[in-house]
Amino acid sequence: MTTFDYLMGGFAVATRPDNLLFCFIGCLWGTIVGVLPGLGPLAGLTLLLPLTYKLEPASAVIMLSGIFYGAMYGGSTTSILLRIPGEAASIMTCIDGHAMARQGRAGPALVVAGVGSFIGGTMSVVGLTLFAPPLAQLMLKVGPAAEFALMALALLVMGFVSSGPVLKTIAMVVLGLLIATIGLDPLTGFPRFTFGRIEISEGLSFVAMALGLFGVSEILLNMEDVLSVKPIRPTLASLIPRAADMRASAPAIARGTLIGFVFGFVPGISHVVSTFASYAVERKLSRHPEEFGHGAIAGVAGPETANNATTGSAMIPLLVLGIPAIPATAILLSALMIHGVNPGPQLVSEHPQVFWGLIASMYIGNLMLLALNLPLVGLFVNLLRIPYAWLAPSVLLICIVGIYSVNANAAEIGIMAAFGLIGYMLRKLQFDCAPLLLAVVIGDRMEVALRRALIISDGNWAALAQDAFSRIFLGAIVVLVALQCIAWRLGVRRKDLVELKSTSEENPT
Amino acid sequence: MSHSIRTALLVVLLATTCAPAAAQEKFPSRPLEVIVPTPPGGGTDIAIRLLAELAEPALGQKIVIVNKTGGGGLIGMAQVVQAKPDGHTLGGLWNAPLTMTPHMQPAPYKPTDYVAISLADSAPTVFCVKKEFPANDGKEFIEHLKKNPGKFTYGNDGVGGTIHLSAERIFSKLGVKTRPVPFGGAGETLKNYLGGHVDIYGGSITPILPYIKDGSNKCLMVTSSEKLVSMPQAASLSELGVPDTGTALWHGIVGPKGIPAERVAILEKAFREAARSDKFRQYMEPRGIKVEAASGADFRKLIDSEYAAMGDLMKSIGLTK
Amino acid sequence: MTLTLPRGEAAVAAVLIALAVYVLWEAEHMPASTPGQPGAGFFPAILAVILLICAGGILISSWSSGKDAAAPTVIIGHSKVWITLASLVALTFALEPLGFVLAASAFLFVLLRFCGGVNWLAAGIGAITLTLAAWYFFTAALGVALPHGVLPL
Repeated sequence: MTTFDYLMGGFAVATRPDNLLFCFIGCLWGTIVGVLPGLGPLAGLTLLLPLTYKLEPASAVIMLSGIFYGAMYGGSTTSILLRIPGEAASIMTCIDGHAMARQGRAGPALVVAGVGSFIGGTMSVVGLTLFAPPLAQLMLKVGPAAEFALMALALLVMGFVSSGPVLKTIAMVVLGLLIATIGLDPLTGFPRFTFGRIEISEGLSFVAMALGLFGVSEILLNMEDVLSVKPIRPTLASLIPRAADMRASAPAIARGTLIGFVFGFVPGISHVVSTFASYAVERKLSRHPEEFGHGAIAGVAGPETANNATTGSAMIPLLVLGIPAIPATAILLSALMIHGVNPGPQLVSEHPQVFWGLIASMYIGNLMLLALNLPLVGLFVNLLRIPYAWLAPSVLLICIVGIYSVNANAAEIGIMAAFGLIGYMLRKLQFDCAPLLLAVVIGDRMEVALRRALIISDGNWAALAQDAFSRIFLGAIVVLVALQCIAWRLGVRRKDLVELKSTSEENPT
Repeated sequence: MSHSIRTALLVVLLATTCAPAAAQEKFPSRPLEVIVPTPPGGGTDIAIRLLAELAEPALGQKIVIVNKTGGGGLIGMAQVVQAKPDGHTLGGLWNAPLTMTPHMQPAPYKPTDYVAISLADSAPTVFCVKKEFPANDGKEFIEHLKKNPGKFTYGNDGVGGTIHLSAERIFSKLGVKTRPVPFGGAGETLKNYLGGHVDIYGGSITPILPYIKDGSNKCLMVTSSEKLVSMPQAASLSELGVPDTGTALWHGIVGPKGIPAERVAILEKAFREAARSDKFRQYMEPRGIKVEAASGADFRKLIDSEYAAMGDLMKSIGLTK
Repeated sequence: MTLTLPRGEAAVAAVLIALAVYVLWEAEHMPASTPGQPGAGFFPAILAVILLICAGGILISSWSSGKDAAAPTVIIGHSKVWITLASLVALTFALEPLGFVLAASAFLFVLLRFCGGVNWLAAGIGAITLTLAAWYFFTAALGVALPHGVLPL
């Protein structure tokens, strides 16, 4: 039997009426959970997990994975409309997506995000279908040293992408990394900067920080002239992307798919890292880099495609090796285990209907999500018509409930408020908050990877560059830095020439 | 959604039950709450959920699992200890918050603050190596490690974690020096071991089982005093001469101190029956996990002896607070 | 409060420097690191040093551009901003004792009336309606547990 035959068998399972229903429920729930700030795919999965105990394993996993990739679709909605990231993978979308919304182009942004998500998600499943076993073996080779190099690369890329002077960006990144160290040291259990409170021992709540730095600060900035924040009144025609938009987005989507799929290999935070890699690439390759930050559609298309493209490759370690690469897939793992299905090398041979049924359902799910999200664009965009006096408090209320729903800890609302104030002041003084937040996301893993690599090599720093993957990533860092230096020198030369020219014009001999 | 209906039901019932429960009231008189101090989906969470589901018929009430994460299990356990001791709020846990973590960090409770109700299951940890490793049974394994102090790395579940401590308990007795590399859990340890980044896998049986079955790896040591039927190549601790140094990863039910004795007895009976049921057995045994279904008294003995042993161990390796 | 941008940047840089010094001081008290066993203080210490350098650089550059009379100004702070923040902090403390319905209604009312300029009646009705809607949506439909506080709801 060829892969095609297996896949057709999978479709037979996935298209059973009850499985179609479960797929739909999962996708719908995933979209809702992705849209609501605070609740993310992890929360959505855990809320629905107990309901799956009574289902067949294939059905359970079809529904749960629908939540997983569905949330990647929903997350872009609040990012674009309100500049509040629905979840970590949508942080980059906030930047250009919201700028587009401000220009009355929320419709095209949402449509492009949806289409890009569909293409990224579907192609990712194709990759999963065709290449799962060899890719799984490849993923194993990425050890702690390579992981650290990759994350350093990601931060470097983040630094180049950010607007503003280099020093300010580095300061924000380092601050974010420091914030990530708050809590119990993951390797030794020693409490760092916790002031003796157990509640902080897992670190500051990421959701509280994200909603504070992006959501609350945005609202505070607008509060200054709340009565003059004009609600945006989109017309029907403006909902549809222009031909120029589609032309600008297509290459971004293609690149985003590739980037997302490749980054799916990074354990733990693939969906976030892929978005800023995509953003950076789009900005570097764009003919109009100055548009980025002010509503460049490629800045929405690329990242949104990339985060969906990680969903397929993120499933590979789970399905082929039985190892959950990201927390959301850990829930899928436990759902399978409860049903007596052990993911791992024997999954494909012992439970083919689960494996192929799941893959087939991912194709179907992506289609369902596209059909769900596109018509809703009109509805969502109309939310922006609400006068800001009412919109802002309502949004704050949703954020508050979102935060409380995660840990039932009212103090986190205070943390959100504190970060809102910090974000407000930083933005006023032109410090970019995105690098800060993204550094917090990867800080933990980056530190742990470095220390593990050093433990394994027994303190030998040179060993960090010994395996193939580490060399590739470190090499990329060197190349990027070199390119940036050359560009800077050329930029400086050009500036000198321009000055020379203008002074000679002023003082004609 | 039945989850929210359950929650709503619980809310309404709790709100209306303001008067102190009459002594003759039937127990349990409303749904029970079992607090699991881990995120959903982990080994402990799955085991406790299964156990709870199987105990519901005997108790005649629904059991709601509440996940309360944080502090390595301390936060959730603290909530158990502070709950009203009427038997309706319990805790479903594994070793660390009771016998290990309190030695490393100030815990908001003492061993006397809770009552042990029943031990459900326990699983020893195993130590496995790739098939090319120059040793074929436990004794050769220890010999080889002794000859190369500090050379080999083994993956564990974090400093002060169950695997780390159970390994050190044995290694220090045998005079073996290895380098522990902390990972976040069995999944990560497995991944790094398979990728060749650490030499020895130290962790629970279930994740590594498929890789033993296909012959690419071999398990040479198990941290229990008897051998495991499923892994004949793995030496037991008795065979290695150190029978009392075993630590298993176990799961059990506890409750706040002060629950009336008759209620504890009812709970103990229900959870022991649940653990002895076929469904529980069928889940645990293929994974190499032993069903215990121990009484509260036996469970208490285990907790106390392990607590003392861990205290000594941690002092000797310098982990105490 | 109005100040020039470079002054503001310098203020932030100063705060960051203070933070970096604090981190270094704390890292001294963390378990020692050996080359083969980087301890808890290892990474924070490295980060603190980098932060010191960067913040120092920002301080220096904003000092020199601060001399320039044409530096742009920023206005920080506005009554509505403080009202919003104060309401959030008040909600943090009031949420569990008073319960969601009371606390959130009060919160929404304050924001609608004092920041949004909505009249008393509309603000009051709006606050209560929105709170109840959120309550039912989140607890009944999504199964999220919100605190009851004093009301039997």
